[in-house]
Amino acid sequence: MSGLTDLMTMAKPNEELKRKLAPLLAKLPDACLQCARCTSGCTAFRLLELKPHEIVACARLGFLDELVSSKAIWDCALCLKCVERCPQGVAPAELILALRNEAAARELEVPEGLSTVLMSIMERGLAFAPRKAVARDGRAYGREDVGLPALEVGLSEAAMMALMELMGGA
Amino acid sequence: MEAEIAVFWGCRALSGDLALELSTRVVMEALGVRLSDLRRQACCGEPLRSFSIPASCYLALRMLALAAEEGHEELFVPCSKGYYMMKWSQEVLARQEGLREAVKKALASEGLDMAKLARPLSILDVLGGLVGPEAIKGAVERELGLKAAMHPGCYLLRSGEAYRVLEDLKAVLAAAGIEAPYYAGLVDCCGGTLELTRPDAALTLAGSKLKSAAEAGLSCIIVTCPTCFAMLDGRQEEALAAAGGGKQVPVLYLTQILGLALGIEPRELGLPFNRSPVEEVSP
Repeated sequence: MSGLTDLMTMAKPNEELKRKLAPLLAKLPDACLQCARCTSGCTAFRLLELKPHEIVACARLGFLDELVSSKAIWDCALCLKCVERCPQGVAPAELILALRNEAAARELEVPEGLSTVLMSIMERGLAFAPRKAVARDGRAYGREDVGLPALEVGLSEAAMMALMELMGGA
Repeated sequence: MEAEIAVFWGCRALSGDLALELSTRVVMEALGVRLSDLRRQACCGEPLRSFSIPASCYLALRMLALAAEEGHEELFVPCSKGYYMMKWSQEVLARQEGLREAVKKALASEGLDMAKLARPLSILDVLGGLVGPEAIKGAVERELGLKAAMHPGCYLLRSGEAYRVLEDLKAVLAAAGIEAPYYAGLVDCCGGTLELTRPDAALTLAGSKLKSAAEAGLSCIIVTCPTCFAMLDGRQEEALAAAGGGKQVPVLYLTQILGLALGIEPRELGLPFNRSPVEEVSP
């Protein structure tokens, strides 16, 4: 995050992007009191020094371009503790999601794990590719091997089209 | 009691988590709840939140709309993330008309109606509410005498009032004769979602969660969420190594431990698919 503050010395606020992201948020970052309750409980603060109150402060000032291209937005564990702790209902984790949405829309680099899941959903309508489960006896079992019924899994063509449209043609 | 509810399993079960599905099916049957599989199952949209909040809300509501279209008023979602998504997406859409209209249109492309949605039920809604601790108590056949570490998981915990979730979970476990005291780290995250963006840090989180349960002298960790299960059970060795080493600890689904208390055979509960040392608590 210190890198983020350095960038800000040359940054210009992007009020237009602030307005664009607003509909996705529970409450505007402007309601933040900077009490840092979010950061004091943050799962990723302990390990990765993520400071949600700083992200909210930058967003309030309009420095959204810097946030969208920062590595910090991918450090969030999405544990939602900050959502629960914020006395103002600001929900920093949801602001981080909105910033990630903008990063994805700009086709910036997304962590590999997330891209893999996205490709899987586009391919088969499930976050993960089906695989057999290896039991303690060392053998691999599919659902049919343990008597589980076959289920119809996946997205219909119409659902896939609607999904693509909502994703902005991704 | 006798009841029938529709069930949406979620990506983890549908892609190979047999322990979750086996134990949920057999325990529900033992408690008089008939499950009818939702005819069409697909992603609830949770991991898509990082790419597009509207798209993720669409996929979540789609499952509820499909359930309603198949004639179900309620939809049981054993996956914590799936359940959270179905509640959160309705909250998000209630905030903003533009998003609501976009999702309504997306649903309509398959002939689904946003005004007709099934009500999502969590594992606690079913075990703690529909079945209830009294009925569970009455069905217990085996004294496990365990003191366990409950791990509510972030998504179940924050899908409603966190305090109530903890109380309900505790009541269900107490009915099965399992004591679940407070321990340092009770509401800590397993790192399951962070795994997609910062995998190393995620394993450290899982490792410290495992250590906190062991340090509290509790005999096993009980989870409800399949993402937590994948981290704490499936990747336990790596997680402990990432956190500087530590004693292995049995990790079981709530439905697995309940099933053992109900006298169901470990094999039927999918226990051969747990990687952690479950033989320490299983008869």
